[in-house]
Amino acid sequence: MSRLSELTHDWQDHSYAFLDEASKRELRRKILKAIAIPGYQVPYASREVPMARGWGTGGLQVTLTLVAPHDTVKVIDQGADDSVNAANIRRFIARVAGAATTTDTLRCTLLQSRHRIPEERLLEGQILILQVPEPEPLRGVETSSAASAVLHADADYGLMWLSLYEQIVRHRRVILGASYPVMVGGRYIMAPSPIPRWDVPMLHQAAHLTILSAGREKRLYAVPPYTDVRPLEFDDVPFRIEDQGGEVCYRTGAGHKFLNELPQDDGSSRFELSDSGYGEKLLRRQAGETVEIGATYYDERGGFYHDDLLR
Amino acid sequence: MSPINTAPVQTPLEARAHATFDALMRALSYPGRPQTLKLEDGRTAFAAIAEALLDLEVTAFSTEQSLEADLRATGAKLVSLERAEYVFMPHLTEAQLPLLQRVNRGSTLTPDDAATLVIGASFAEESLEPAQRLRLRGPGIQDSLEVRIGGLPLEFWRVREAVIAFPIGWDVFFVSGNQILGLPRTTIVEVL
Repeated sequence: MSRLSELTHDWQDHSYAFLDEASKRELRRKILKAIAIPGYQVPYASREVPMARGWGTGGLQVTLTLVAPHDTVKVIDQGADDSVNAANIRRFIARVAGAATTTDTLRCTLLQSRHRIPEERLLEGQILILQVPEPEPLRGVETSSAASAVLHADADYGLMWLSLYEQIVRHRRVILGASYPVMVGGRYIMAPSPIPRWDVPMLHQAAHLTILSAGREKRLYAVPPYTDVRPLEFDDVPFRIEDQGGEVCYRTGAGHKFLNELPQDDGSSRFELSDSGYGEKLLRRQAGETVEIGATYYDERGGFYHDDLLR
Repeated sequence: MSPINTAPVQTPLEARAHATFDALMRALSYPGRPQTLKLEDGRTAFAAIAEALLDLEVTAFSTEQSLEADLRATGAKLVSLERAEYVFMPHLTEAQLPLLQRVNRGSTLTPDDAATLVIGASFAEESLEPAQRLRLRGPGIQDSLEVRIGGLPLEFWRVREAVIAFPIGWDVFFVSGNQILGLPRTTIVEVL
């Protein structure tokens, strides 16, 4: 016979990692489904978290489900560890889960990100969690969710191809910047979240698991490791990453990396690395410290590490 | 209002469920690579998986009555095989193979409705049972991976191939002692 005291635990302000066990179990079931069907949007309940919908609640719920006390968490917003949104999410996760935090891509076990993938390659076992505002890649060509679901079910992506074709006819190129549509595993068209085109190839045959979660839209989806993720392109109009124009980061001198443009008073521009954790490590190395810097997706001459993807 | 000063700690149940889920997630992300569950004395991997994934929101089915108490303890509703979202088959026999054709495979519109199977097998290297050599390909596997899985009727692989028409199909976790091995519906299995 168990005693009542054995069946309960000491009083706590709230559950470990904020979400209650039932919510976490539901997310766990949905995450497994998402991994089994790469690119398919799995609906989930999307609970309340102490943050407004649209500020990364989807990513946060996945992180809170995955986190354990032994994890090390990195949170970035547009590549920066120190932006208000990233800093607050990171502090919240550390507070409710007791997890360590880092700005070093190599050291993190969980990486929650808004709109960027770091320049250093993620490794096996690391998990990238992307915050997604609009999970439905077909929203621009089909406004009805029910109709989009049928298009996905039938793999009927003619409308999507047509919209790319029309852009090329009108503008001579595909005018999509962030959230460039990709084909996952040769079956589902997926919105890779509003990462720049520069980051899209990083999802292809990656060593790490990526989970994308939209809290407001209540859907999550995943790209398992070593899965084909190919940006939509035509034989004669290949996919293009952003041209960095030969500019280099004014602080670190790094080139062939994704750069932020900083407008100057005199009308000119300066550029700096968008990935602040990587930039910080480069600066520390230049100051004479011994810093471990991982292999990057793009090398010093701009070559991508998989040679079968970018033409 | 008092600020939260210390992080809450995981209860033993939460810690167990988290560790089990972590192993399940990695097993499904990297199909064919065994993951180890931390099992407390006397607990089976089947019970641990049920504890991590099942609750009163889902339905389950077991081919063995001995497991039903563990499944009921989670709050899950025990239903017929066709309706079950989680199907436990600790000892899959030749005679049970036709059951696999009745398991819910989902539809093209809702492939996530498909069941998840938890099947007893043997893939530990020290296992003495005759094992089938398999070559796996697909998401989660760099190029290809050769594994040995025994303790299953050989016909299992033909049945699996017949029922899967991606995205329709079910996902499997094989259980061998405290080890689990994931096989999502995306994995292409070549019997060697």
